[in-house]
Amino acid sequence: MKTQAKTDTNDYDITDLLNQPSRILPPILLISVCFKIILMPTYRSTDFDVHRNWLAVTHNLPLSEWYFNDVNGTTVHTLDYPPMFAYFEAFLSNNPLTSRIVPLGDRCLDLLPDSDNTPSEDCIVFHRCTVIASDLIFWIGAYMACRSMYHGKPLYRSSMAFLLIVWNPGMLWLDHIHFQYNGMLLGLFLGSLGLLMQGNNLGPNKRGYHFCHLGGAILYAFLLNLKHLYLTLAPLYFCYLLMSYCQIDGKGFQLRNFAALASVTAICLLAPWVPFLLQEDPKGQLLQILARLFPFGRGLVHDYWAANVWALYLLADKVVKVASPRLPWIPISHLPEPTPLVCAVLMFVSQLPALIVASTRRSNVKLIQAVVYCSLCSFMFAWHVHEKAIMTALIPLTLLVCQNDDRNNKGYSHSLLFWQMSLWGLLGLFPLLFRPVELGFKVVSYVTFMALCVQFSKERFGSFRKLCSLLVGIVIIILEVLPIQGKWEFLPLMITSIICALGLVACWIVSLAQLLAVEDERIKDKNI
Amino acid sequence: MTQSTAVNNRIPITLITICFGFACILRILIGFGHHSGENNYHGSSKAYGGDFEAQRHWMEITYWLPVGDWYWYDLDYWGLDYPPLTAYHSYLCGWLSHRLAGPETVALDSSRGIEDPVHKAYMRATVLVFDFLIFGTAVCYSSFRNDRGSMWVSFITLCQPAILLVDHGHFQYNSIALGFSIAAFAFISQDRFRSCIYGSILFCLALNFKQMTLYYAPVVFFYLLGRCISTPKRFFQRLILLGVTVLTCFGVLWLPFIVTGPSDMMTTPLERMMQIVRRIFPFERGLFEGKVSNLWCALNTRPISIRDRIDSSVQPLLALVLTLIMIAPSSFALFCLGMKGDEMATSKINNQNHWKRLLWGTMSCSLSFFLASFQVHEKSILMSLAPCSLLLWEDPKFVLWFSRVCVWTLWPLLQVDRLHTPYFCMLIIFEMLVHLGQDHFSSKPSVFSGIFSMIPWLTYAIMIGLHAIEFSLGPPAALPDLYPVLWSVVGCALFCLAYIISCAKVLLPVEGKNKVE
Repeated sequence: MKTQAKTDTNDYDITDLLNQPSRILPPILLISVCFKIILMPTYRSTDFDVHRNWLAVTHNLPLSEWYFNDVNGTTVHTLDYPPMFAYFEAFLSNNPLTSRIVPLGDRCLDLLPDSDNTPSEDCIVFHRCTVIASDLIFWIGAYMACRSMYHGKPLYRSSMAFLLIVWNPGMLWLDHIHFQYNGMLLGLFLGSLGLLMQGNNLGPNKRGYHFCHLGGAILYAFLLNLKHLYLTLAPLYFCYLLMSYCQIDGKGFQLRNFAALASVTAICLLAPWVPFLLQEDPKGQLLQILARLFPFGRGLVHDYWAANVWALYLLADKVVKVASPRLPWIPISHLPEPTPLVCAVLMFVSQLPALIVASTRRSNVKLIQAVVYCSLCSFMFAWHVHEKAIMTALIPLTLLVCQNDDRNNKGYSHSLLFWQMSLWGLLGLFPLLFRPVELGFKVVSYVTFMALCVQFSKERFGSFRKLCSLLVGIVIIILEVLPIQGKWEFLPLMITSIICALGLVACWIVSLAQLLAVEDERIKDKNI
Repeated sequence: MTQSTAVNNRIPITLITICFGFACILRILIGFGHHSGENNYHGSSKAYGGDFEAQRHWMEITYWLPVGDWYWYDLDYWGLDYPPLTAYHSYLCGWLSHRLAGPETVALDSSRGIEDPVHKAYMRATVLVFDFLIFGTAVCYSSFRNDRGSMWVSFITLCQPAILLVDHGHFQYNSIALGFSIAAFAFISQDRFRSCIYGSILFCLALNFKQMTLYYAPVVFFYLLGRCISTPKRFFQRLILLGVTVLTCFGVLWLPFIVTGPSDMMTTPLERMMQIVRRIFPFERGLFEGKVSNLWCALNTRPISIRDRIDSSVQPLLALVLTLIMIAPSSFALFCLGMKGDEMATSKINNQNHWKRLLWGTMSCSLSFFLASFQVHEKSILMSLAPCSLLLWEDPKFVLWFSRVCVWTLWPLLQVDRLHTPYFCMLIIFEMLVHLGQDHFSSKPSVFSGIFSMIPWLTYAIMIGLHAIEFSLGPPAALPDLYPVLWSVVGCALFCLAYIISCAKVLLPVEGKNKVE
């Protein structure tokens, strides 16, 4: 009896459990599936209607009309993702399973005007199920990335990273409440990163080296054809692959590798476009698709400012507008409006350090750091950024969380950066789910996840983090609880986006500092 | 080594946040499902909805009417039939609802059958808040001791699918009554007699929140009596102290209803009191309600049909006698336990055994009421489940088996409420949590060991089998109620088994049992 009591009162490390992925992963995945199923009846945004309309378009129309149709001008939910995504929707809407699940006579797959497109319960269940099923890709990608990141290291580290990726509440909010397919896209992205890292782990003399690098490139090419948001990472991929795959230490440039890479990538990039170019008017098709993909007319920022540099810029603009009539020493009456070109140039210039680092110091940690930094750059500067884009930086960063848990590391640790970025990035997603009905779920899942991050980081929950938490609490109260109406209605949203922007800009700078820091043991060994 | 483990022994606050947060997320998720009677799904022509509408209606009448009218107003439409503390609680929720969810949600008469997502969220939030405030606090106070075992006990108790599905799915405030009861048990089982006084106050609150907590009353009474007798010198002093406490508590809570009567007729104080009692104990409703997994319902199947054979005036008496027989073991055992109450301070192990014995007693007693008493609801099984769940570290196999049986017997109810998805999802989530703790659970001694170890597996096979048969075949046209009846008969048999085990646990001495195994 007494010995029993003693073994029970061990410390509360769950490392032993995390060291057995085969025991811990199935329950975790099953629990998350159950969560997603129960979330089906919650709020869904117009993105649901968007994707439903794409199902209808790909179900009812010939390929040539996919990018032209807008149900005679009665819908704004037109197809505006690249061709692969259109094929994905076509696959969903045209397979025998779908016609069996969606009951006969249901309008789920019909072309409907915006004024009358309320979906039936079966339609919602079907559509939500496609998201849940597509999360399988997310899990596989996350697992691949975690395993190759922590190659040859204790298993609990990759389990932790995997757990933090698949249980990110942002994914639940975006995909399973708001409705999108981010999980699938991020899964491909992580899979691509995982293959690249695995190639790095293997080294050029092993079998599978070419397969991994080419596979990573192919997955990325597919990803680009699914969602063009990832185009902002193209320079990084190009530089990394060019310098790390096509160049081998001591042997110089490998033309064979380059040729293989170039041809494979080009085929994967262009193949999905071929069916559209085989139509009667290929030029018209191409121009129409590009016009749909890049709607620059939408303005610099979204209705709700994403928490980036432009939010701060617009705030400064507002301040100047208010202040300049009163304070004559201010030389300008408003700040200049940036053009898409300015955004693109800023983004590219700010990405340069990452391109250099990723192509010169070839290690997995540096690659992921560069990916995180580049994603943050595009989040900060790109034209018409959505708040959701933060996930593109946050999810890869999760891979690094369990990297340096040794205490003697002086720098700003990855886990602290991750905590900060989750704190502000996820808070910035709050306005997406604006109904009071989801408020409880939003707040509790957020708090629980932040606690999970602290639990895994093994760091002290210092006064700095407490201060940040307090600030977040105040923001949540302003945003969700205070009944601000009328003239100052915009204030809660503005405060949220400004404070999140400040936090994320700080994270962005820290991630640059981490990227440039020379700390990685393996690099030292290699170079010296 | 021992020093370092002693330092590490404190459970980090983050881990506690994660566990509480997870339990909270489960509650919120279930809350997204339908509540009882949503969209008037049963199609009842007499009164809209179910328990949800009843609770909302009580908020409406308590908010608008003077206290005297609460137990008299329009009784045909979900008249108030819970004890006074529920009425006050409804008033508080109604007051907040008027301000937070909008005045239309509790407007007198005109709000009947209102359906509004924000109002539903508000109602769910009230359950959630009180659940954590009272049930959560009580569970942590009674069981949380900063070690891994107690962590699991609290966590699993807070994630009991049966409790969550009834409170947050079907919609009731059982967790408040359960919380008060558990807190009361935790207090009365402490070695100082002063704690017994606090415990009895808490138990009075539980009794005044939900009459169902009467299921615990005999064991609590006999235990406290034992405590009084344990030091003969102070017997009368203690007895009077407890009596005065209980009477004062009841007096304070009942006084407003006795002093003021309904505004539209003349009543004497006695009549007013009797009105509350009549409302709380509706004997005219019959031996049992719906399809409950208790003895009466099981004995009412075709060849026996007990309800038709025995005169309806004898039925309450029969139920009473059988219940009294069934509660005898646990009452006797707890009376003896109470006698030993003052010796507890001698050792920590002793203290723990005392607490566990008390829990077995309360479980056994409430199970006997559930099985044999008059007018039982299927939800009353929660009264046995809550104390049983706190015994997780004693006998995980049995407790988990009992948890599964409990939630399984609620299936017919949840099916009517259209909570199929939350039911299955909660079952899976619960199983997965158990799976994560399997290392700890499987190493413990259990009653289901040796030849009995097949009992749980047999039970699970039957339960899953019945689900599969119902899903694939559906009821035959001649017997539309076949499956609820099967559920109640099987459930009754399993609960009888649980009753026997709990009686054995509470009667047999702990040391002797250890030697036998």
